Amino acid sequence: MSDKKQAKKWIHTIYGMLLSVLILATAIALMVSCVQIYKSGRMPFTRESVKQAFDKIAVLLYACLGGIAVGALLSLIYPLDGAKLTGGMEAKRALAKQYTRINPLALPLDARRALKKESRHRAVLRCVLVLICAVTLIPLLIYLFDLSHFTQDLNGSVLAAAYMALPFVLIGGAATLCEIALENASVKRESEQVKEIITAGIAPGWNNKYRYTEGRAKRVGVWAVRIVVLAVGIAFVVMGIENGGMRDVLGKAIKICTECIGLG
Amino acid sequence: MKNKIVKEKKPNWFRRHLPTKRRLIQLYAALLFNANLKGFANGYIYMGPLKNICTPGLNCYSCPGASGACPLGALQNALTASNKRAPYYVFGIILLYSIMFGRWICGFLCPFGLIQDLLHKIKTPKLKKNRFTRVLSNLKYVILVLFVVVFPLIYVISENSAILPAFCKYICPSGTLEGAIGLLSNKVNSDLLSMLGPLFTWKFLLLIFFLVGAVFVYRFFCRFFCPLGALYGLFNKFAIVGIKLDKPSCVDCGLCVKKCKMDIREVGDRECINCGECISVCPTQSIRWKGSKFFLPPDEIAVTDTDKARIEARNGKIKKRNRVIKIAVGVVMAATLAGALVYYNFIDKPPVVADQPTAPSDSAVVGNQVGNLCYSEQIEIISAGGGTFDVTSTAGKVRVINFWYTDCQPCKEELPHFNELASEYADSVTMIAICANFDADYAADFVAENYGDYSMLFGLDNPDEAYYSALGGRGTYPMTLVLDENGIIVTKFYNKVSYEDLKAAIDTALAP
Repeated sequence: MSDKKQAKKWIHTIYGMLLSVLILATAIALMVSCVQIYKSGRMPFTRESVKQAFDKIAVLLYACLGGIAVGALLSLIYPLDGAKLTGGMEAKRALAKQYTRINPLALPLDARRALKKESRHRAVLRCVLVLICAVTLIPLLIYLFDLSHFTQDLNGSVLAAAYMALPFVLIGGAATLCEIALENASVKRESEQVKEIITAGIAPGWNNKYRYTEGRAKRVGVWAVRIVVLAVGIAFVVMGIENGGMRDVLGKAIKICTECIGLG
Repeated sequence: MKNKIVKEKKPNWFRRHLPTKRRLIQLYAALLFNANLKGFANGYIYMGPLKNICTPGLNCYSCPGASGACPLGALQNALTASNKRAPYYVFGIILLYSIMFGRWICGFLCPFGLIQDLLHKIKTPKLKKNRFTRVLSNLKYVILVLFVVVFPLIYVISENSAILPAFCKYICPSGTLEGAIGLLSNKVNSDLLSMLGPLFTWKFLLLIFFLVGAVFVYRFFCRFFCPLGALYGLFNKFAIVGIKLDKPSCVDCGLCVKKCKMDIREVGDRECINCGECISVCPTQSIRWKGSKFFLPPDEIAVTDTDKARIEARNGKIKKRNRVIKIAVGVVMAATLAGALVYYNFIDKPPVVADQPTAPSDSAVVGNQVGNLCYSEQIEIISAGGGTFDVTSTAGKVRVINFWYTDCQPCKEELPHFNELASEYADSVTMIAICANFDADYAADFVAENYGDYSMLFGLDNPDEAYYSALGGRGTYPMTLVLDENGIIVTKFYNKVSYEDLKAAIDTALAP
């Protein structure tokens, strides 16, 4: 990289870091101000209290806006060159493409078994993931189906239900991440094995091109779904107008939704 | 003769920095869906009949500029009212939007998506997509199921029935930004500030989180939290409008996935917002807009001079046809926007804003502010007996006038306090709870079922909520006025009132 490009990169990096710190500081200041106003007493939000809080953090806000403006000027006058895009086939697709170059039926039994072992391994991983998600989902479902948990204390009930959903979200998410990592490792191992087989020329494929041909049946199927869903949608709209659903939408939309905007 | 190397002329600085077509469409949509510009000036939301129609993107209907209803808010409200009537209309609207546009709406029409796109342009380091973000993108489906569907429905079927649009109430940043901040920044709505409490604090913190997140992470809210995007994404592959990958010519180079900032596995899947940025990087031009073949001349190589002439003539006709279509679409779009702006800002009748006199409290000026003599009105009674009732007729008694409707959760929560106090102060106070006129079909049954003792009066507002508007109602329910024995307004509440606050207000009015 030339010196000029290097210097440009450094300027943009330093500017970016400084602006990030400024934005985060402003965000934290706004959050803290809001909490402080809320904790200041009964009916704490008034124009005066909001203005006071704003005045305290005004410098930070204006600095943030100024920083953003500087960034805009910097990118207009001294733009950074775009990074070159390098692609890469997804591992599973690459593996599927490799398989077209071998004839699995012509492979020796032990080689075939070794390849099947990896795909079985991935199937097991998927089953384990589904099991983990199901196990963490069960307590949430049990909780939701017991309607006595949902009392007139709406906020408390929703919070409690959200807590019950947390294990499912966290454990399910972590399990999915692990499964993806392990599956990718398994695909890479299988890919190496297939590469060796191709190099050794043990079971050459029919040399068929890896081509996806979109059949007419699939195109007709897609249009059939579109037509059905369109028809159902139009029918529902008509039925909704007949049964007064449209009037309900209007009735709610012309009132200020106090819950939506956080009033109360 | 030497061959001349012709360098492609680089467009000038101005042309290079023009907004893209996509940005222009986004700006157009944001303006069209918030065409009620006078709402920002006068602090009122649009209350006309066009709010029957749901706008396709996330745009809170409590925004002063909102010209239509929000599909997600309408869906939740329809589910909370599903015991009264099946939510066909909202389901139908969402199905139509989904199958026609899919997540093209996210990429081109959603105002909150535009806000995130603009925030992402701020020059800070960006968090690139990775396995973690791909897994996290499934969170929006959990939010869709739990907050949009399950919570509203649970409270419909449980014994403790309540109206709970859970996503709007606890998560939606569009409501906080466009609705709350949009409304409350106008001085006319200063008294609504007193209604802010823990819920607003939570939502404001969440809003800052989403906005700052959008600076560092592309489409932070859309990718991980938006249930509307989740819903549209389910139909993305079947949608009529959007991006399509021509698989026979695709060589799986992966450049499109690399270029895309969303968590796609392939172009056009449920995470794809159909922004079209991948089209330019595809080396085999396998990515195109659905239906674009209609606009392109077919591939044909001219063999003879006759062929050449024929192909040129055909291509000329196609170009002319495309030009005509472009002009027609441009004209229709411009006319729609102009028509919307004219209608919402000039033709639409503004809400009845009663006089706002500033006379001191000891004057007998008729108005709707504290210290004014309350407007008089004949109200239809829906309690046992029926008939009409002049709200200000019971001189010598303190009067409490409450405005409510059956789908208003805060109203339903406070009505028992009114009923209780009506019994307690039966001799000295007349309590009347006036239901909004649009809710007339359900009011009588609701009252008979829940307040069958009729210890207080229940009435029905006049058409177009005339009395509510005359008394300064701005679309927030509930609203309560306390009048002293002379009919002077002594207290006004724009929010849900507690038993203690109402009792204190009545005692103040009763004090000599």
